[in-house]
Amino acid sequence: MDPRLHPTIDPGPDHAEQRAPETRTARVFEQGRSSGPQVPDDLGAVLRSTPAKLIVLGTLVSILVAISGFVATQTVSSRKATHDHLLSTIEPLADASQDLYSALSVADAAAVTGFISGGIEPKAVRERYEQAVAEASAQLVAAAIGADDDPDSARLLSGISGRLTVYTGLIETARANNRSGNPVGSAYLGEASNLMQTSLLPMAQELHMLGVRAVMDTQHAAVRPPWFSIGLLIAAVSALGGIHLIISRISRRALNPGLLLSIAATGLLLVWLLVAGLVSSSATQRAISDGAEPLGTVAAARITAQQSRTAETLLLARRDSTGEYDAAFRQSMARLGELLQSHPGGDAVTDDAVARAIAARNEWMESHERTVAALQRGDYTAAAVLAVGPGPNESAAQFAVVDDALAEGIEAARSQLRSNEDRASQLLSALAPAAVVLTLVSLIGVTIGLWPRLREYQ
Amino acid sequence: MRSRVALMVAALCSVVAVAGCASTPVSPLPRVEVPYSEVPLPERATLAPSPTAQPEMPDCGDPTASLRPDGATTGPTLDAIRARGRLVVGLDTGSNLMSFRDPATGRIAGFDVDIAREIARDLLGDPDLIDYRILNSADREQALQDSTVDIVAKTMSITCARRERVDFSSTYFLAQQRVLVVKGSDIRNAADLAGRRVCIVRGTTSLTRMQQVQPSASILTVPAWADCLVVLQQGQVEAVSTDDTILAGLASQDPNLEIVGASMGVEPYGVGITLGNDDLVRFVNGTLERIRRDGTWAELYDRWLSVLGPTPAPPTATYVD
Repeated sequence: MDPRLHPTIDPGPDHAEQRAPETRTARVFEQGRSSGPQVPDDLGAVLRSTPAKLIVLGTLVSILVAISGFVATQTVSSRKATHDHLLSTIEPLADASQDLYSALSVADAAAVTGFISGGIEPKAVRERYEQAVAEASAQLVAAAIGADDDPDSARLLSGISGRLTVYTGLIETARANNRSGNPVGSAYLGEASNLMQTSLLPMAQELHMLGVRAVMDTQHAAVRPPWFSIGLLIAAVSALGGIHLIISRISRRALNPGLLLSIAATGLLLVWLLVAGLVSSSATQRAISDGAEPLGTVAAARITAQQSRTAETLLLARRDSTGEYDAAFRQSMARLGELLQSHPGGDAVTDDAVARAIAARNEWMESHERTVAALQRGDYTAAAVLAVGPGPNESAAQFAVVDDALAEGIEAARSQLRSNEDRASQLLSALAPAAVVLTLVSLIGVTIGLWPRLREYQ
Repeated sequence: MRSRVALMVAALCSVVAVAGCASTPVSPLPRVEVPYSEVPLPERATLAPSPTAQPEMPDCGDPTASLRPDGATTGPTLDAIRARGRLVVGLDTGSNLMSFRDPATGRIAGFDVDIAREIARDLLGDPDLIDYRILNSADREQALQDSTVDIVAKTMSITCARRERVDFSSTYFLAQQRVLVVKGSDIRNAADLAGRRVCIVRGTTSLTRMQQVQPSASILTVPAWADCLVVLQQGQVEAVSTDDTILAGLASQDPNLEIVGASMGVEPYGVGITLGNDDLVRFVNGTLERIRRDGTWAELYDRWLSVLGPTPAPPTATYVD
């Protein structure tokens, strides 16, 4: 590398080409025998020549620039693709599965409630059932959009879809029998409700858990800043700076415009990736902390609230005396309390919704105690009014407050998740094509910077 | 010869080559997994284990002999029920004609229910002062032992085995175990049930008797008799076997069903009462004596069970003192 050496050792490319091949072979053999440093081989000499050095260095630096540019492009576009996939597929599946669970749960509660009252079910209750079944069918289609690349989700969705038709068939058999005055209607209702509680809802819950896990996994894959790519670009800029130093010494000119262009282009890419990568990562971090994490808790709480309500409805519908449904209710309500208390804190709307849900849950527990007390003194009618009647302080109303609040919290957390994910994706959208352009500019700059120096030796 | 062999080898090679071509992987058509769709079973429906050696039936003499009514209207149990103001009755809602939920009114009605209402009328002065607790057949004895109900009025047969755990009133009905099938079925009696699937509620004397009479029947047990009608209508069993009172109630809901075969045995129904509540046993027997005498029993039979034939005389009570 020392330019002072070149007049003595380097005979120039022309001289080197004039050497006879047999001499070179002989020398190599000789070197192989003696391995003495006093007889340098031609290849070493060539490599030590300044133009060769420049070619090798230029090639190495170009390769480094090209690799770092390629890695940056790949990292950025795969990361953007991850964010876009989350927004277009994974998150909609998780959300649809949560709504699917809710719709199925509402449908079964409405079907069972319709039978508690006796006679033809109230019009409002029947409409709630029909609306919930329509909603469940629509959410199945919405969730299917996200299930195309996940065989587990696809299996669950086709399972739910197949059994939902059986479920609605059983409910209609129950209704037809009821209308004909056949008490067997209740048995069909029981069979349908059992299918819902032991098959459909657990599958919907599993689907939801798969969706939530997929959202979390996808986000955690995109939350780390792209350190490897940033490191490569730092290496490329340093190498370009190094070669600029060498060239300026050889040419005795302080600045080399070509290499400076190259340094500027790769440096700009480095700064862009650093800023966009870090800001995008922090947006993803926010999407997790204000979106996915509270969403996971609040969605689980809503499902648990619906399970509690189901247990309470069945307690009345089956006039259960074994305490089985009451125990299921209490267990489920305790879990609801734990979930709401464990809410990690998100944005203000979610926090407020959770606070309202906690208050309504306590009222609901008190109403349930009144229901149980009525059952214990043998007053079934009063218990039924407390549990499924329209009283503003009673179970049905308090459950509605819990459910509405949690639905609102889910909506708020979901919009936090989606807007931050969208921002994380937007920040990267111009960077991938820019990385290609800047890398090409940088490579052209290296060529421009080295070419005149090489020409000087011809 | 040589050339022929070469030809054959060449032919073989080309066949292999063509076969190779044919088996090159073609991207498979997207297939939708079609899950096997099957009609669900009622909650907690299970196949009964094949009958093992029948446990030795305890011998208590005449199990239907109950405490003689003494006309007393007070006693520790009677006072507790009056203090509560309601008679807590254990029954189920899936035994049409005996106890069922009337779809039109949502109220629980039936022959057993009216027996309980007569008891409430005598005890509390109002047949409506009743709180119903829904019990599966298998839970009846436990509910009495735990005193979660005062009485069980639910097609409960009086047996010596049950008498070890609960007490009974005098007999208020005599039922016959028979078989319910779809019209046109080749099952004509219990003997035809060998290797066929039959629905019976678990924890009943019907189950025990079927396992004695036809041990090779395959038995699906469910929690309530209405569930047996569901599985019969869904084609998951070929027959239901229990007391004619219950079978008549199931047949009345589906004109495609018929009751076949001779009686497999007589089932004396009694009101189940917690062991030791002797005052309540004597009081209930007093009510049963009244309804046998004043025509209420015949009236109830006419209202609910006329499908079984002309009204018989009420079963006579046997007493111990």
